[in-house]
Amino acid sequence: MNGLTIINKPLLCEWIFDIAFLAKLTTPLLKGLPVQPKSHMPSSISTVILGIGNPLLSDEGVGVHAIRWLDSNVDANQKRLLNLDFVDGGTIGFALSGLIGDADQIIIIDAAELHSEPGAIQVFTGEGMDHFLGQRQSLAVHEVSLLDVLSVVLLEDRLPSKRAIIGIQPASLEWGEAPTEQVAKSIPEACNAALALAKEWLQ
Amino acid sequence: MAASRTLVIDPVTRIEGHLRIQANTTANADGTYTISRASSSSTMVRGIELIMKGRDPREAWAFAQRICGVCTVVHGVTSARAVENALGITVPSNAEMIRNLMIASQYMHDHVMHFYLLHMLDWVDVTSAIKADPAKAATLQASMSTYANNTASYFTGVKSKLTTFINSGQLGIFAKGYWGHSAYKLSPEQNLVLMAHYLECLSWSRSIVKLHTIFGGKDPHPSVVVGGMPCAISSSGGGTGKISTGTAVNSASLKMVSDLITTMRNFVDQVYLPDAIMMCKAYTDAAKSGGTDWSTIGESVGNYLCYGEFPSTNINDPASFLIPRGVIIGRDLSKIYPIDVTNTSEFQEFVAHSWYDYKTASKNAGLHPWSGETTFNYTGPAPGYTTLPDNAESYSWIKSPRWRGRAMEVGPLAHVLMMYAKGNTTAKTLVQQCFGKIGWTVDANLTRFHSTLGRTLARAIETKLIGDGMVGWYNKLMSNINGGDVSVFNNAKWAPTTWPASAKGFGFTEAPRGALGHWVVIDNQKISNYQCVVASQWNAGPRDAAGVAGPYEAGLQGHPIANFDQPIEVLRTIHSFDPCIGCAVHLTDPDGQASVTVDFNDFA
Repeated sequence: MNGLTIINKPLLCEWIFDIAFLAKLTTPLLKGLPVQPKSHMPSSISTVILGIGNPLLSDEGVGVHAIRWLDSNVDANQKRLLNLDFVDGGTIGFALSGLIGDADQIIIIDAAELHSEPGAIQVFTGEGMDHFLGQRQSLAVHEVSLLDVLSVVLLEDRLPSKRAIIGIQPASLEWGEAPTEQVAKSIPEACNAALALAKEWLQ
Repeated sequence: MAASRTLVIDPVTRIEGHLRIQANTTANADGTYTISRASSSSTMVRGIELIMKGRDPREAWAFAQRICGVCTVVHGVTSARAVENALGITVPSNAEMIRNLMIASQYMHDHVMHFYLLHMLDWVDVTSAIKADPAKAATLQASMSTYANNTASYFTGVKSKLTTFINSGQLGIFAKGYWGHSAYKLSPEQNLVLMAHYLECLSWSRSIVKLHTIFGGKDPHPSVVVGGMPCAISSSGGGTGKISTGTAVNSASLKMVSDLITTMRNFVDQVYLPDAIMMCKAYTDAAKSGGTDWSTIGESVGNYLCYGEFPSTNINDPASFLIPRGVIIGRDLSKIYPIDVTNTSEFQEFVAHSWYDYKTASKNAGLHPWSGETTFNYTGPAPGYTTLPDNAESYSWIKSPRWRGRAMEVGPLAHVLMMYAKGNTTAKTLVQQCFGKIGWTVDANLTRFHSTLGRTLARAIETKLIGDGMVGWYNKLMSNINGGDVSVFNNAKWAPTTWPASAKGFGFTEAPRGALGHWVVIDNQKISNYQCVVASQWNAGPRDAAGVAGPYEAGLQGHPIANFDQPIEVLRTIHSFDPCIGCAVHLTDPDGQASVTVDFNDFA
């Protein structure tokens, strides 16, 4: 069984990826550049990139804005070959559990309190992701949280072993249908990190 | 003189959004406490109208569906209906039936998930389930329904899975339970049967979401359109056997809809409703062994409101609704009062105890939603407070809606009472059968229904009635298509040049949590005012100008608290309403600190 929810332990920094390094890896994935996979057959391993948040609340919806960026910037053929799916998850709670459990690999993009400059990005993978979410256990009880959703997926033995969350530090949570300028600038970098990770996992 | 203590639950867990309950309690001689006065508040602000003003009314639904993360379909349809009502647009019969099917599908999903994931652990002790005898659990299951998973080996497997999960120390979603509390009254076998279905509902719920994808193009966040539905219907074959998004709904996808409806209904008929009956009986009979009879406490205000839902003809024909429109006053099921949503003295929102002011009226006045305002005026204590004022002052961001000055309970209990009072024979028979199985007397007012368990049973009953209704709406859709009618969209008033200079509209649904209304004002082809009065506002709102408590507050009055530090009794009654205080803000903070000072939000 996969581990989830290691509560009250300090954050371990080896789970935090170097974003600049990841961004370099992503270059071949972008539109118009050569396709990395040798075969023309789509990968049998499915990867879901799931953006969550409320797009009416400016940076709170950065995950959803990231999905919109991916939809318009990733070449359809590459998306097919890498067996990628981009999903705007909104804030629908438990209804996301099926989608997460069905994926072979899941990458979640969400606004996160990282105690950093607005637009800062951190990637947490595998147990690092579980741990990161477990840290906010006391806050998680406020609502049906991402941790609750992952818990039920774990209970079903369906939690993808390849999983990550990409957190982006918001500047504003006020009403607004677009992210703030600082956070908007980080969206391509966060998306490229997600794409790089998806591809790295396939190798 | 008895000592008093103030109980604060902030936040209430296992709900959508942020709800805070503060209750004054009196100590009893045996060490227990009794609630003398409860206050319900939310620290989330609403203000969707701020983002709607100046928009093209045809795009309002896309924003409205983001008001609440859970109720995307119902907010989207309600918004489209408000604009259609304002502009005098009628939608084709096929679109009405498809909307019925989509809303009904939301009910199936939400009610089952609420019962097992959000409410059941108030009644089921997970740590008792793993002490059960699987053979006895199988016998129990066989006595409840014809469900196939009723063997000892099946329950041995479930028990083993739960044991592994609990012993791994990774309680996860079970971590915050009051396990071992004296208020838990089910046998280990009853607990195991219910936990087995807790696990099963997860894969069941995954299998049924496809209906929204077929008709709404995608899920999450399926599409609707002002004037109907955006899904073209192809009457000629298709036959690829695949759901294809972006192309027409064809015979293959319609066959899949039929199969999905069967999957939904089977689980409700064989698992959910029998489980709800078993649980209600156990917590009624608990009184025989010195426990609380939960069918005698938890009544809220005794008044019930429905806008109505599920037309068999069209939305402008309330006589054809499965859930009738109207109001019940003081438990009296012999009379249904008519309602007029356009009457400015009938429907009003009060802010006397809410952190808003009215610019055009006094703070104690009520405003009809068409002239509604959102003027923030926070007068509460600075963050870090432990108790909020609950007498003369404001204590919530929720406004208090009233019908003719009265507080109203909305939701499944209101729906079932309205069907019963209206004389729906199918509903009456089912209610009487369920009462009989539990051992509740069927009297004129259905006394036992007006309680915490009554609310929970009514939710299961309406899930069956609506599931059965889906068959009829599906058949009507198929009959239209087979007769050559494939229309889903009325474009007669799509162009803004066809609109009047000024128009007002009201859109409604009965959402899974109750009466949902959107009021829109359109001036010069743009939205000039937009107000939502949502179900949880009716139920969770604070006291009004006259000091009358809202349904949550009234429902908690007199509640026993066996253990002050583990107030499971409060959770039972609050969860029986299925609170959904919006989940728009869910910022992740690795330190576990609330990092937002004000959560801008809305409720559904």
